[in-house]
Parts: sequence; structure tokens; C-alpha cells
Amino acid sequence: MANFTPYTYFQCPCADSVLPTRNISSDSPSAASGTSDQDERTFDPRAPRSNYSLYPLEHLLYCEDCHQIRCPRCVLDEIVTHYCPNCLFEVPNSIVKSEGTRCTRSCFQCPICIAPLSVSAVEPQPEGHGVADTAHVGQYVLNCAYCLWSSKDIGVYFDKPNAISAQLARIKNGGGQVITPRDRRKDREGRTREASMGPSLDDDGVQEDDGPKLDPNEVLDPEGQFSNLKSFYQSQIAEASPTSALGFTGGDYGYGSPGALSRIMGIYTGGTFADKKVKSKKANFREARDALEGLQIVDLASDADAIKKLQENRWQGTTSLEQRAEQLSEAPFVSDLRPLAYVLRTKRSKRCKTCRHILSKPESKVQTTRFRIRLVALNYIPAITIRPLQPLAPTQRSLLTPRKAVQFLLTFKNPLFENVKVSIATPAHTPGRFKSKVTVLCPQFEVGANTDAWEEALREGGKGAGGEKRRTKAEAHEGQNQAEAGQVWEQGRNWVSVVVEVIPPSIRMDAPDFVKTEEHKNDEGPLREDEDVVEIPAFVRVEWEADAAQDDDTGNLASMREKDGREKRELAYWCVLGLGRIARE
Amino acid sequence: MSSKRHSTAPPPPKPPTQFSSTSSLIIADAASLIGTHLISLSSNTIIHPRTKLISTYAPITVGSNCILSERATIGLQSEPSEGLSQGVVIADYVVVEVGARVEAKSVGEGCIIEVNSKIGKGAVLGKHCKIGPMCVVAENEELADYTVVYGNGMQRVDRSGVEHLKFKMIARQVDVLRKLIPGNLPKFINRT
Amino acid sequence: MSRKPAKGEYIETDTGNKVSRRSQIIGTTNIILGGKTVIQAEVIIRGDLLRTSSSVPDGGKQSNPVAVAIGRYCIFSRGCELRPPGKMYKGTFSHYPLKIADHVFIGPGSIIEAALVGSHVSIGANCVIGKFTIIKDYVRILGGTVVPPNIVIPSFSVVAGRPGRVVGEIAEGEVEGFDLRELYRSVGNNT
Repeated sequence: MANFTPYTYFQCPCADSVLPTRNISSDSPSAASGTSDQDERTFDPRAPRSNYSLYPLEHLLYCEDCHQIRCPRCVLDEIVTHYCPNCLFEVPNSIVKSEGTRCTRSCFQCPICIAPLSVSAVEPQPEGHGVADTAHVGQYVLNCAYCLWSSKDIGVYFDKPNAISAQLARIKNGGGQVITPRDRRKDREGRTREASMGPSLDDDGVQEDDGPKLDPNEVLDPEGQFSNLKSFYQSQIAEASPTSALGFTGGDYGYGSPGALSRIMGIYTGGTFADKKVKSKKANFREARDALEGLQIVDLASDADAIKKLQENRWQGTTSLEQRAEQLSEAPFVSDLRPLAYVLRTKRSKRCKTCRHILSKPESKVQTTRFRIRLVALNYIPAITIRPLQPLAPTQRSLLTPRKAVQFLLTFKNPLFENVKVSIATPAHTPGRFKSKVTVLCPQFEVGANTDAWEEALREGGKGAGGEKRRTKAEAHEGQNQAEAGQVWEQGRNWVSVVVEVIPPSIRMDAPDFVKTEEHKNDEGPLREDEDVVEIPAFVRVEWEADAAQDDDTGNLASMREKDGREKRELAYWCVLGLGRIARE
Repeated sequence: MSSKRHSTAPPPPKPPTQFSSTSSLIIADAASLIGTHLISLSSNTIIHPRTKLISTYAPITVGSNCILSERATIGLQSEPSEGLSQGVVIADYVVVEVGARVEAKSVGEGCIIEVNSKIGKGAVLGKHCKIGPMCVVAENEELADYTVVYGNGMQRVDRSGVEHLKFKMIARQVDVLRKLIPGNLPKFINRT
Repeated sequence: MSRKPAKGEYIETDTGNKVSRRSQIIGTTNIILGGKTVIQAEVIIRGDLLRTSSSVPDGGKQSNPVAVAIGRYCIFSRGCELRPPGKMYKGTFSHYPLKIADHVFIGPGSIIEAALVGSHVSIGANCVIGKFTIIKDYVRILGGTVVPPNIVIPSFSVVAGRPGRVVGEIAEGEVEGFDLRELYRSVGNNT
């Protein structure tokens, strides 16, 4: 709190164009006033919606075709590459589709503390560890070096140190074998063949021939249950609708495919036509009846087991909310936890939502950090940095004193290779309950052009004159320590500093009525978070002349073009300048 | 600020020391042992450079095969309350990592006290505890054997049973460090 | 602070390194500095924690073994520490070299036991970077983070928490902000 770093946030213009789609009842005043005169009002950085449109300059992109700032809300992301954040292996799209978005190699996170797990060999122990054949099975475990959790804790051992994911899929907690979906499918096929021979559906528990492992009353793990349910209902759909009304044959009805999903979504949002169809089909459906079809009957005895477990293991044996949230299936006890396969990360390219041009495109290889295209706002609009005009002594508190004028330097740095004209407009008083008085001493000025990097290097080699000039100029001012109105404070090759003067208000809640603002009288609530920060909304307009764009099919620009192939450009946007925190009295 | 050379300042009085073995104990030249109470160290223990053992308020006892890393401070840093007159007692096979601050009443065998953690005055650590980086054990807190403190003060009990491996690793690490860190034991010998 | 050493706080080497006289560098012969690196006061670099060589390889007997390798334009703030990590491997305990690439900023009081820190990495104040961590390029680790051992942090990550986890991504426009040339120039005896 004592340390306050001044900040500048830029408002993406997309916030203006997106109006709330739903009309909240008119008795909520904020909704009514918020939408009607958006353009007329000064931008209020504390309005609830502002949070979603303000970004540091570094987070913004710039579309060269729309000539506009683009924020994360008005770009489209496209996945270039999936990769595992741990082993940094690129995962091809086909694998992502079939295996899901987790690493399928050996990368796991600790289910207790989410630190990475590493494979280590179990030292052969002379007394044996209760596992049937210690010499052969289970020589490796997953270990967490941070909280010392080990897959031993859930009774899981591995045969080999690689392809842990595939091995883990076959081992239950405690060491039992998991019946894999493939085994289930094989068994299912066997049963359907059998069922087709005898016309009546077989009853529970009469399965004898090739069922040494699959029991209709078995307790399924969630994945097994899902795979059983899925296959059961798939077969139901196939039987019920040889050619479905949705336009594809029931046989390859894949719920997993995005196309099918979007069509299903269409059923819900669409008219009554689809609804009717679905209803009419429903009659032919049968529900799952046993574990082989994915039905699990809640066993009351399991509750008693859970209570017994709770009594034995106490608090230590239960999992936290965070731990449960990370698990794929329900895990009330520590012994139910499974190692977490790393979720894949992506490299994404970004497109302008309006014109679909690419704004940012990384190299597809995982290990390279270069970009093929990178149109960042930093290279198009002037960055604004803020510092106090009178440097504070280190001992001095960095808080602003109420009712005492304080001056800040706003430095505009021009990234363009043309001179730009900048004008800043701020309201005389900041919005909100506590109003600071704001005066920009020089609201209009011109900033010089940026130069190439090598030119900059040349200047530096000769210990540039630019740097020297700047210092003397600043020193000349320091004598009087008073900024003149209409004058630029300091100036460099491609930057200009101007002075803004602020008179912060008192933030006393118990102030007498006559000093309170209207807003404060209407709202006597306690001081809100960060309400003591002086935030100035500033409207910045930048004008410059640029070489005419090559693709000049955009008609509206043509009118502005001058004879020599130069055209005027302008860009205007709201910013928020966070200057400092007001001291409490 | 103090002057940049140590030699110019008068050396602080040496605390009385008791070493069980002078051949296998390594105390780096740049380590500092200060205070007035007895500091006793056992065999095969390694004290890194810039480790501080402060016996100003109470004695310090360190077992064998311990590793005390740089910037760690061992010993009480304020007047001991009742029942703490025996000072800090560290058992065998204890690793104290960089920057840890140990004021515990006793640290059990095989404990690992990780980077920048703090063990409050009068705390008692059982055997094979692991205190994670930047974790804090409060004053007078007692931890059962095999307790792991991690994250923001989370605790769990480690039952993986790899103590024999840990002992082996610490013993090897001590062997390696003995070759890497030049000891200067005579500097610290002060029999009373 | 009244009596400043006559020669100034930093020793500047031929390759442009600025090393504080009050830093504590142990095992200097095993440390490689790429140049233009700032080492502030009370920084500890443990060059003495070398790899355990069971049998001396006949090849490079002349060249010094390396414990800590540092690239160009790195800034090690006051009180941070670089320490090669150690572990058991095939029955022997050994330390392994700590490699740091270019434009790496390490905040005050942070302790680094990583295996590799890539280029353009910024580590905040009072972090603990666990043993054998691999940090790729363009990573920001916020202050007070405890990065767990053996983790791999991919490029363009923001890491925070205890244990540290990836909490965000580095935006396209933040890439230039990792350049430390300007900061390097601002450090020195005449400031």
C-alpha cells in the first residue's frame, strides 16, 4: 500500500460498440443511464463495465487494416499448436481429438499440491511390500518433490519409467487392474452377438460363458461407466433411428464431434420442429438396466463405508475443495486421488474480429519464441509514462496530501516514424464520490518521429547530443520549479513530457455536508476498494500523416488523401491515468 | 555500513566449542560462530560458508551427518523463556537449507528444513519432518514425526517410508561437500 | 552510507560486467560470465558446488569445470543467490551446472537452484526457484513465488503461488519489456 506505482490503462474502442444486449428493468438507474448517453459522458474508470475494457498498452494489438486498437475481447484466437507444458512435445491435432487435451506421455501433477511429479525407482526392499510379485511388478513410482506425495500412497506402482499415462490408465488405486474401454467393447460385442441369438434380453447374473471379468453388478469407475453408457445409448440411437432426422445416419452419431454438438445445440435454440422430432423418437428408447449398460445403483452400504473411513482417517484423510476440483472424478478421500495429467497448452494466432486480418501469429514450433506477425499497439500509439514532478525523498510517504496541488509529468513516447500531434482532454473533476481537480498544463503538442534502432545506436555511441540537451532544459526549469501553462516541460527526439496538476480531495467520510459532492451525499457508504486512488480519465487524440496504404480500396480514406500520396490519420481513445493514493487524515 | 574488509574490524569473541571429531567435521572459513554459550558439533557435519550459528542466548547442539547451508541462522535470537535453557538441539541427518532460521527447541532425526523457512522459538520437530520453502513453524509448535509442511502452511503426513534412501543420500552429499568445501576447523576451536 | 569506498561500489570488468565489491562469489574459476552482467551487493554465487566427477575424463582436463554459466545482460539484485542444484543419480550424489541465458533479471533475496533459466526471464523479489527447475524464454515469475523442484515452465508464462503454477500468459506487447540493456546502463558507479 505504501508503494504505489503509477499506471496507464487504455480503453479499447470495442467497449463502445458493444451495447448491453439485455435490457435490465428500468428501475435500476445504472443500467438506464449507462447506455443512453455513452458518447456524451466522460468515461468513468470506476464504472463496473470499465473493468472489462481497460488494458495496459502491452496487452493491446493494433489492426493495420481497420486502423484501430484491438484488445483480447475483439480478437479471435486460433490454435496453432497444442503442446504439453511439461515435456514440451507438440501434440498433433488428431491425437488431441482422440485422446483429449491432456499429456499422454509421462507428465503428471501432484494431486495434493499440483507440483510436478517425477518418476523414481523403488529401492528393492528385502521384506517385500505386500504386492504379489515384487521382483517383477511395480518398480517405479511417481514422486512429488514438494509435498513428498508418492503414488505409493494410493498403491500405484509402474513397471517401466516411461509411458506412465498408458500404464496408469490400467491401474486402479490400490493396484487393481482397470478394465480398459477396449476390453469392454470386446465383451459388449460378444454379448450383442449372444443376444441376437436368443431373442429375449438376458437377465442379470446369467452370463456364464466368457465373462470372467465383466460382472453386470460390478462397481464401475467413472470412465468405465461413461464408456458403457455411451455405447449403450449409441446403440439405442442407432436402433431407434436408422436415418436420423438430423441428417446423418445413426450409426456414426458421434456426440464428440463438434459438428454434431453444434447441431444438438441448434435443437435447443431452434424452433419447435426439432423438438417434436426428438419427442417422437423418445418413445423407442430404453434406459440402461445394469452395469454393463452403464447403470450404477447407489449402494447404501457405501455410505457406511465412507463414514467408517472418515472415522479412521479423520480430517487428514479427506481432500480439499481445490484438490477435488482438479480430479476428473469424485474423490472425497486422499486415497481416491489420482495423479493429474498435465493439461495441454496452446500457441495461438490472433485475428481481428472485424476484418479477419491476422494481428499476431507465433511460429508453430514449440521451442521457438519468434512471431511471424506481431502487430502490437505499442508500435502504433504513444506510450504514456507517469512520474511525480518533484522526486520524493525515499523517507517521504508516497501518498498524496488532500487539498494540496501536486504535479505529475506525463511522458508521451512516439513509436511511429512520423511526427504526431497529440491532444489530451480530461474532465476538470474526476468522476466518482471524491473528485480530484485536474489541469493539464499543455493539452496540445507535437511529438517527434521515432528513428531506426541503428540510428539510435549511432547516437548513443557519440554520447548523443539529444540526451544532453534534455538534461539542460530540465535543469533550466528546476530553478523556478513551476510549469508554465501551454508549454511543454521537456522534450526529446521522440518524446514529450507535459505537466498535469492535480488537487486531490479529502477522503474523510465524516466531512461536513457542504464540502461533500452530490454523489457523496447520495451514497454515504464506506470507502470502497481503491476509491482513494486518483484515477484520471483522459481522452487522447493522435494525428499524423502517413504514407498512403497500398491497398486503398477503403473508400472513406481516399477523400482524406493529399496529392503526394500522404494521408492523414487519426486515432482517439480513452485512457486512465492512475497517479497515486490519497493519504487518510 | 560496516567496513568492507573483515580483517579491519576486531574479531568478535569466539564462542566455546566442543567438536566430537576434528577430522570429519567441516566448517567453512566464511561461516560464523558467534555467542557465549557452548556450540557442540558432531562428526560428518558440514557447515557451509556464510552460515551463522548464534549462541548468544543459549547453547547449540548439532548431531552428526548434518548439512547447514549458507545464510541459515541457527540458535535463539532473543532471551530464552523458561524451559529453553538447553537452546537449540539438532539431531543427526538434518539438512538446513539456504536462509532458513532455526530457533527450535529440538529438531528430530532426518528433518529437512528448506530454503527461507522459519522454525519459531521453542518449536519441536519430530523425526523426518520436511518444512517446505518459506514455510513457518510457529513458536512452541510441535510437529509429529513424518509431518510435511508445504504451500501456505498446509500439512500432511508422509508415509512413503524412504528414510533409508534419505540417509544414504545425505551421507553421500556430505562426502561430496567435504571434498568441495575447504574447512577451517582450527579457526573455530575454543575449548573451555 | 556516509563513507563510500573511494573506487565506487562496482568493479567493472573488460567485458562490461559490473560486480559489487560486497558480493560474495565463491569458486570464481568455475563461473562463466558472458559480459554486461550486474551483480549487486550481498549476492552469493556458489561456483564451488561442482559436478562430482567419479573418473576424470581425459578430454578437457585443462579447461575449468563449470558450475555456474551466465549469459549477457543479466541483473542479479541485492541479496539473491545462485546455487547449482544437487541430486542423487545412479548411486552417486552430484551437483549439476546452473545455466542462465541472456537478459535475466533476478529480484532481491531470490534463491535460484534451477538447472536452466532461459533468455528474457524476470524473477521477482524473494522467490525460491526449486532444484532442477527449467525455465524457458520470456517468463515472468512474480514476487514471493515458490517454484517447486523439477518443474518445466514453458515460454510466455506468468508464474505465481506456493507452489508456483502458471497463472497467465505474457502478451505479445510485453516481449520488449524484458530487454535489460537500458537497466544495465543505469547501474554503475557514477549513479
